[in-house]
Amino acid sequence: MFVALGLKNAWRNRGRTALGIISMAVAAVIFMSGSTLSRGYPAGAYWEARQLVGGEILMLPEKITLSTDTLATGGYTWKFEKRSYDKPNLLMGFDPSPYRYGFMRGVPSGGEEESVLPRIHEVAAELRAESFVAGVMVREVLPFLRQTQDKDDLYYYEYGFVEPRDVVSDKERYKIEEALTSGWDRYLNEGELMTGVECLWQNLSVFGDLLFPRMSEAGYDYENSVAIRLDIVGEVSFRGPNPALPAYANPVVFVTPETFSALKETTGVPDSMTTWGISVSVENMADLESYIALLRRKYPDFTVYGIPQLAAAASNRESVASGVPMDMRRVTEALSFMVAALLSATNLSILMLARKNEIGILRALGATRWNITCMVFSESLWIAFLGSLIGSLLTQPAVLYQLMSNRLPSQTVISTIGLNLGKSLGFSLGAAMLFGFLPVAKALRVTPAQVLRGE
Amino acid sequence: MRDVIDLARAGLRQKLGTYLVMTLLVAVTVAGYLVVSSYWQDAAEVSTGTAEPLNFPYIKAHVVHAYLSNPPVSRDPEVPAPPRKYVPLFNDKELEKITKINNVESLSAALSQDSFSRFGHLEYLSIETGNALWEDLDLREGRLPENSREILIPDTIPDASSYIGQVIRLRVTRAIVPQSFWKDPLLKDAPDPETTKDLRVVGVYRPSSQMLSGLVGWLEVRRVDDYPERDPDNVPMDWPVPNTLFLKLDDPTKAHSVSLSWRVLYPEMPEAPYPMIPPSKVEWYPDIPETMMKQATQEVAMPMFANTLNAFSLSAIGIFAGMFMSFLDRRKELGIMKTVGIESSRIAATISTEVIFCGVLGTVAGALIAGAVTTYLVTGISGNPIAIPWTALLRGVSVAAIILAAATYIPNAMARQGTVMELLYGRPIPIVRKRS
Repeated sequence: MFVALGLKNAWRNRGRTALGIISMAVAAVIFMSGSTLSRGYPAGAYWEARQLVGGEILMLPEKITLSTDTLATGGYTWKFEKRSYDKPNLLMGFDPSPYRYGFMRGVPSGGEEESVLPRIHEVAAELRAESFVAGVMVREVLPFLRQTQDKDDLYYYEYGFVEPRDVVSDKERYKIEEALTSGWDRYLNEGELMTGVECLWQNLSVFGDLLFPRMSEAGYDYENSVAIRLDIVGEVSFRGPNPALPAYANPVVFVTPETFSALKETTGVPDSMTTWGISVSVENMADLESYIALLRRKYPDFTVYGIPQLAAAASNRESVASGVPMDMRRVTEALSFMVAALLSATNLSILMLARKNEIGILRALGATRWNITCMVFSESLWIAFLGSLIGSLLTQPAVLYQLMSNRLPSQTVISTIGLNLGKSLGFSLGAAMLFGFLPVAKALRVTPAQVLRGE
Repeated sequence: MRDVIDLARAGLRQKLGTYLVMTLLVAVTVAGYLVVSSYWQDAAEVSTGTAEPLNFPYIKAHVVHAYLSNPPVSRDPEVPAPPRKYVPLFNDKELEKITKINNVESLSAALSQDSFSRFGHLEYLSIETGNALWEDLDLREGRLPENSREILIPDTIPDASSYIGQVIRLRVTRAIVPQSFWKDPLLKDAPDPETTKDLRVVGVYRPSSQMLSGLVGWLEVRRVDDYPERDPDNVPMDWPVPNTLFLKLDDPTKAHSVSLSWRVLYPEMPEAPYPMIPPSKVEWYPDIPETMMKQATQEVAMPMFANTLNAFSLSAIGIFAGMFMSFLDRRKELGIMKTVGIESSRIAATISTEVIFCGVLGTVAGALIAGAVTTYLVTGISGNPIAIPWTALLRGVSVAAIILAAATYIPNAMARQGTVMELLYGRPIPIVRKRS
C-alpha cells in the first residue's frame, strides 16, 4: 500500500516528478552516448574520406601529436619544422598546414633517428593478425614535377605525387568507381602497368610527361629527373559534407603497385624514401574510436589518426589536433548520474518538507518507519526508473542504426543493447537509492506529536 | 558582532550535519581543482620544456603586395561607396610605417618560393639587396650573392662546400597547396617567368633556425610609387613581387605586441566588405615552438578541465540545496528572532557568518587534502612531486567564494526580506519586495 502511495505522490506532484525524470533521462542519454555511440560510427560514415585514404586509420611512424602517455614517458625533443614536399602523404588533402606553415615533431632525445622501415613492416605484420582488422597496407609515395602552361601560355611547374593502391580493396570495399567524375569510365585494373587515376586537385590528363627525381646521395635529385608518361585513365573526386569545401583532395595520381615498382626501379629510389606509413581498414566502424585508442596505446612511437579526426579538420578548415584528448567518458558518465541524482534528492527533500503534515498523520495512523521508507523510496526509484528508461529508449534508434549498419551479428546487437540498458538502469536506480537516503532521513524525523503541535 | 557570532555558532551546532556536508563539498571541490590545476601546470612545463627554441629573433610574415585603403564605411546601400583606392605595400613610405613600430629594429623584404633541385625540395628565399637580414646570415664559406644568378646553400647539405662555383638547376613551382587566407582577386602577382633557373653557388651559410634554412638568393629592389587609378580592374605588380617580410625585433619576447601594432596599423574595418586586406597574412613568431606545445597540452587537458567545471557545478548545486534546506528548516527560529527585535541585517549576517565559517573551513581542508594528495599520492608527469602554485590556490579560493556567495544569496535575501508572519507561518517570501 505504501509503495502505491509513493507512486500516487509522484503523480500528485507531476511538475517535480517530470523534472526528476528529465534530469535522469538526460543522464541516461549521456551514458548511452558515452558507452556506445562515442565508440564508433555507422557503416557509411566519412565515406568519401575513407575512399580517398583507402582505410579508416592512418599510422605515421613519427611523433607529431602529444598525448598523456607521451607527456608521462617523455624522451622526445619537440622541433618546429615545415614538412618537405619530398615526403608527401595523403594527410595533405585534409590539413595542408604542416607543409604551408609548420608543425611540431618529436625527435627521440637519445640520439639520431633510426630507419623506420623495419619497424613499419613489423607493426604492419602485427596488425594483420588483429581480429578487428580487415586490411593493412604499407603506404608509399613518389613525388614528381610536371611542366604545364597557364592560360597566358606561360610555362610553369606543378607538383604532385603517385601512390600505389590496393585496387581490389578500392573497388570492392570502398566502391571507388562511384567516385569517378563524369566523362571517365574506369578505375585502375589489377596488375596493369603505367596507367594512373588522378584526384580532382590537379588536371594532369591534359598533356606532358611527369618528371620523377632520381636518387642521389643527398636525397631526391630533381635536376637529374626521369620523364615518364602515365596513361591517365580516370579522375576521382571525393566530396566532403561541407559545401564550402571543394573536395577531399591531394595532388596525387593513384597507380597500381606494379606501376609503382616500375617507377621505383627506373628512378632508383629505395623503399626507405618512399614509405610513409600504414593504413588500416577495420571490419566494424561501430567500434572505430576504441580501435584507434587501442592502437595509440599499443604503438606509442606512431601517430595514429582516425578518418573522423581528419575529415573534421578538413570540414572545419582547421589543423588536425596536435594533442590527443584524454578519454574522460567514464568520468563524464559518472558525473552526469551524480548531477541527476543530486537534483532528484533535492527535489525529494523539498517534497518531504511540503508533506511534513501528511507524514505525521500517517505516523499517527500507525505507519511504521519502514512504511515511510518504502513510500519515499518507491517514489524516488520510480522517477529514476522512468527517467533512465526514457533516456535509454531515446538513444536506441541511433545505437541500433550504428550497430546494424555495420552488419554486426544480431546476437552482438542484442547483447550490447541489453547490457547498456541494464547498466543505465542499474546506475540510475543505484544513484536514486544512494541519494534517496537524505529525504528518507528527513521524513523519518517527523513525529506525530510535532505535526499535531504545528511545528 | 558578538551576538551574531553566538547565534551563528548555535545555528552551526543545530544544523551540524548539513554544514558538515557543505564543508566537505567545498573541501573536495577545492582539493580537486588544486590537484587538477597543478597537475596540468606541471604537464605544460614539461611539454614546453621539451620544445626546441626557434632561435630566430624575427617575425616572418607572408604579405600581399597592395591593400585597399578606403573601404566603404556605410551599411546603407543608398550611400554610394567611394571609388576604390589601392595602396602599394612595397613602397618606402609604407615599409617605413611598419619599421617604426615599437620594438622593430629593421625590416627586410624577400621572395619565398618552393624550389626543386639536386638538393631535393627546399625553400628558395631571395632577399632584397642591402637588407639587414643578410648581416644575420652566418656565412661559413665563400661570399654573399651579388646578383640574381647567384645563391648561398645551407651547410646541412652533405659536402656543401664542394658545390661552391657549381651551377645548380632549380625548378620553381607555383603554389602547391591552396593558400589559407582570402586574397583580393584584383591583386595580380606577376608569375615568375623563369621557372627553370641555372644559379651559381657562391657560398655556404649555417642556418640558425628552421625559418631560414633553404637556398638564399638575391632579389632586386622593386618599389611601386602609387596606384593612381580609382576602381581598377586589377592591381598588378611586375615581377619580381616580394611576398615575405622579416621584422627583426629588439626584444623577441614581445613579438606578439609588434604583431598587434602591425594589425592596428592596417585594420580590418568592420563595416567593410571584402576586400580590405592588412598586409600581414601569415606570421611566424620567435616563440612558435613553445606556443604550439602549450596548445597541444591544452588539447590533451581540455576534457579534464571540462570535468573539473562539472564538479564545480555539482558542488554549487549541492551547496545551494544545503543552504536552502537549512533556511527552510529554521524559518520559524528566524521569525522568533525578528519578533524579539533582532534586526534583519543581523539575521542575514548570522547566516553569512555560518557560510563563511563553512567556506573557510572547507577551503583550508581542501588545500590540506590537495597538499596531502600531491605529496603522497600523485606524482607529476615530470616525475617530481607536484607543487601547488599560489595562483592556483588563489583561483580555487576565489571560485569557492563565488559559489558560496551565489548559493547564499537567496536564503540570505529571504531571511532579510521575510516578515515575522511570513517566517512563522511558512508563507511564501519574495526575494525582492516592492517598496511602496
